[in-house]
Amino acid sequence: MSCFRIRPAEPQDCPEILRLIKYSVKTATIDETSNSNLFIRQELAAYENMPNAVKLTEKDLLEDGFGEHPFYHCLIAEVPKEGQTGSSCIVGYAMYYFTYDPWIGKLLYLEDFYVMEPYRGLGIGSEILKRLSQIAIKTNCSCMHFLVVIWNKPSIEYYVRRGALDLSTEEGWHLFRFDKENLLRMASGE
Amino acid sequence: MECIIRPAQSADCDHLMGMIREIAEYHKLLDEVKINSQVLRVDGFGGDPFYQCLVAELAREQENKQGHLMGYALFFFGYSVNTGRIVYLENLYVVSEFRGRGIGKKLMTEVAKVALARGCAELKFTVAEWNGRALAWYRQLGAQDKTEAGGWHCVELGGEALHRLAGDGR
Repeated sequence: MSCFRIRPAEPQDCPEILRLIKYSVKTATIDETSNSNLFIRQELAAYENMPNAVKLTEKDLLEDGFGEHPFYHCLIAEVPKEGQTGSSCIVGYAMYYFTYDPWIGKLLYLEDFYVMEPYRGLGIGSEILKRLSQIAIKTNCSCMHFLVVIWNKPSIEYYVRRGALDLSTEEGWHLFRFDKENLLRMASGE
Repeated sequence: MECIIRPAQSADCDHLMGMIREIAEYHKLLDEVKINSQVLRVDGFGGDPFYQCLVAELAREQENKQGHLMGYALFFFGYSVNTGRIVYLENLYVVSEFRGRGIGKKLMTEVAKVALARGCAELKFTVAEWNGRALAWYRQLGAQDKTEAGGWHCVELGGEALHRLAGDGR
């Protein structure tokens, strides 16, 4: 019998959130680069040096998620620890924040969503999505947005099955990014 | 023509909404605009702002057109699991009669300053692939197309799907 609990994250969860973020980013890096000639599978071990490596620290997560004006919110999925009553371990999470569209107002943006492999297929993902949808509706958000790597077919199918629309394919929206170097150059008025 | 970039104020919301509707009208999508200046005011200047806005205004010396807004940048703070704090630029708009005078660049400069001052390491935004002029403008500023390079697609779970997932029976 599988039992799990979904709850809002608390400050003491930050070390575990960081652990899950690292797993999740590793998986996303594989997806993103799997279609690229540059990706060499042996480098998984040296993933810490990859360009997509997580630069966040526990301190960042604490300050940014649990300060006066949080940059993000988190839902946690936990299961009871085997043989230890009252103890649980965190096996999944979703990180989200609120965004704004000047035509329709508030949106919920899902930044990351990860369930550890051994715990998939138990309905944890579905329950997290359900809770996120409830949060979105309660806070008057028109929809939920997120990014998926197009080559990650299982992910695409997971979301399309649930009614998601690929705005990039359907409407031609491309995601762009300015990195820190660009920001510094623009800020200096160059 | 002197242009100043300043944070938007509650009193700018009517004018801001006008410019937002201008964009929608240009795309022949005016019926997709569901909010009005009152919602914009509450969401941006209530206790818990959901967005930030900078406006480009004609400087005071131009007395007959004082307070005339020439453009705006609407953005908000977000979070990346890779780099932490980020800014997401939702809209950057310069009214057509004022284009070609560096106002867009001035707005971008100020957004970049705000982003850096708040400890953000990235600025993200989306551009429609048919908008060749915008694509060229952002590329020459150094922006990277993550959809093209990394296959990142923007996905949406709309109202109906949300209600279904929330399990509220709709």
